[in-house]
Amino acid sequence: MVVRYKPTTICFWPIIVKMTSSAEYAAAQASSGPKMELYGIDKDFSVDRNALTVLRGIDLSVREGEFISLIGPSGCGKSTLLNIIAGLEEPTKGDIRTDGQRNDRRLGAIGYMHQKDLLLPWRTVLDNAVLGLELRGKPRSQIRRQALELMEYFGLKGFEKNYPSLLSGGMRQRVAFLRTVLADHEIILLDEPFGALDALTRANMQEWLLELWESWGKTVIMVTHDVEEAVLLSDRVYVFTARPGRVKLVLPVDLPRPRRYGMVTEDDFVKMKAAVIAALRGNDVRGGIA
Amino acid sequence: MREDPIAIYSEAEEPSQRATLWVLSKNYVSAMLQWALPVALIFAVLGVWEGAVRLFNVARWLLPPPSSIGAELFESRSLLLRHSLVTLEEVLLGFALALVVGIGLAAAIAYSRLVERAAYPFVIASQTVPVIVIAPLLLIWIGYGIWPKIIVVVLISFFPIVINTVDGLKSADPDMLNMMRTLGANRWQLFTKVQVPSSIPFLFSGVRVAIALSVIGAVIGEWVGASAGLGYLITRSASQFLTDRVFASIFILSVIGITLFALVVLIERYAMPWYQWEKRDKVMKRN
Repeated sequence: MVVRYKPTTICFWPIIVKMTSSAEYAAAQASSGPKMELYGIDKDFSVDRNALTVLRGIDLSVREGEFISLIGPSGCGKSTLLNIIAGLEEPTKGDIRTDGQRNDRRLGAIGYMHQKDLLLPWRTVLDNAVLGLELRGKPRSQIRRQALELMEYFGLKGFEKNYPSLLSGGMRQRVAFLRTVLADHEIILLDEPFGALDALTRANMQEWLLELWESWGKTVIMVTHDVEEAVLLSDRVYVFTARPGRVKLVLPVDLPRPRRYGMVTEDDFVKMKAAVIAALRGNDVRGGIA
Repeated sequence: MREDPIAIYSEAEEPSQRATLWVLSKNYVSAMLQWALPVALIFAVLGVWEGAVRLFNVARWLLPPPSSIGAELFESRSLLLRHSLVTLEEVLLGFALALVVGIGLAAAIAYSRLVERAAYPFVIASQTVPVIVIAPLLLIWIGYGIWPKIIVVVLISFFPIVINTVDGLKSADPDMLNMMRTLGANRWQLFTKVQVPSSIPFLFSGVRVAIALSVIGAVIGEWVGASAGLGYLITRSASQFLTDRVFASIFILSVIGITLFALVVLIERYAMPWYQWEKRDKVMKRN
């Protein structure tokens, strides 16, 4: 039942990414400025003619290849922030820059993975995986070949022709990951990607994502409720206050990489976790942390 | 918890379970009941009917016994076949047209708010005006022949197709649509790759209703004015007190209706293999 998915080669990623050699990648990371910056983001919703402020003055910046987590009490607007970054919603105030330029055409240019796998039930695993490339009009045989090459790494080999309803929750989520990966955006948003999974599957998936990301080098912004998950995966953790959401704390996680799931019991890790929990609890006693 | 998808679906067919006397198993008994009960009921009804007619000496023109309806089916088979083919042609042509009109209209309604506002009142009005009232008008305008019947069939059966398909096109999961947008889908791609597939199960439930209504539509069309078809045969035979022929025609009409319905169910199963799995999946989760 518990299967670990080891990469077949360390550098599997160049199959997809144009940036080919690891030397090139290292050079890019050394000189990387902020990949994405948010300045003074406010978001109001009007509910029954009353303005409801969900986000207030959010400043945030992510370097290229960095993994950051946003954590906060339920309803603090983290998911709204991801929707804004993805371009599904517009902020009431503030602006968003990518590569130093104000970017108002983000929709379709930033990868976004939801808590629900959102697989199309009428498509097989393979046809779901290639969706992003298909929408861009890439030739079918080519994109299928690309997807098939990655099936094994994603633990989906032998299930290419299955419909999603036959798969377990963990497998479905891996198909959604593969779809996101193949779509090949430079910035990836993850909205509680493991929230719907049971604890055991979740731990396996976290470790798997660590491996994937460490050889992948994409810029990732993840929303989570899980303090341990945030500390384990991230370079920095943003802690949000309850509504209206503000950034309460930005905690750099200077644990060594590559990281392994076993680190969660080490002293440094526990200290980081305690700092995040303290920040979370400090802002609102009623606001529970899931 | 679900980990291995294969294991779950093979559990029910473990060899040790199959080895036990299948005849005594719960499955066999319930399968028998499923088939035997309706069949027994039909025979019981026919038996009581036959017995009552003979016992009370009911006149044949008033209520013929099943045996004489059976005999009529056999004796007049070439006459019945000729009229059945006419009706079947009207049903199939009318239904095909209703499918095209219904799906086209539904797509336009779901795609554009303006079309929805403009077309919906007409769609609903077409159902509030009884078809039996429109049929004589069609006769005046178009005359005899197959077209008035086809139009009646279309009028009566396009409605469930439109309503269900519109609901289906609008039932697409908004999260799924947003996911597609973040992958760069344009409006046409959202429509063809998410909305249309989401609507197919709804379309089929509309089609199941529509196919049954098509048979009724053809008969109504023939009642108003025709020189062939089962509806025509029924009115003519009734006026001649050939009651067993009326019943024979009714029997054939129901056979046509049931066969077409079964055909739709069969096509549905082959057209949407994923849907069968999904339904099964939902049942499994509930248990």
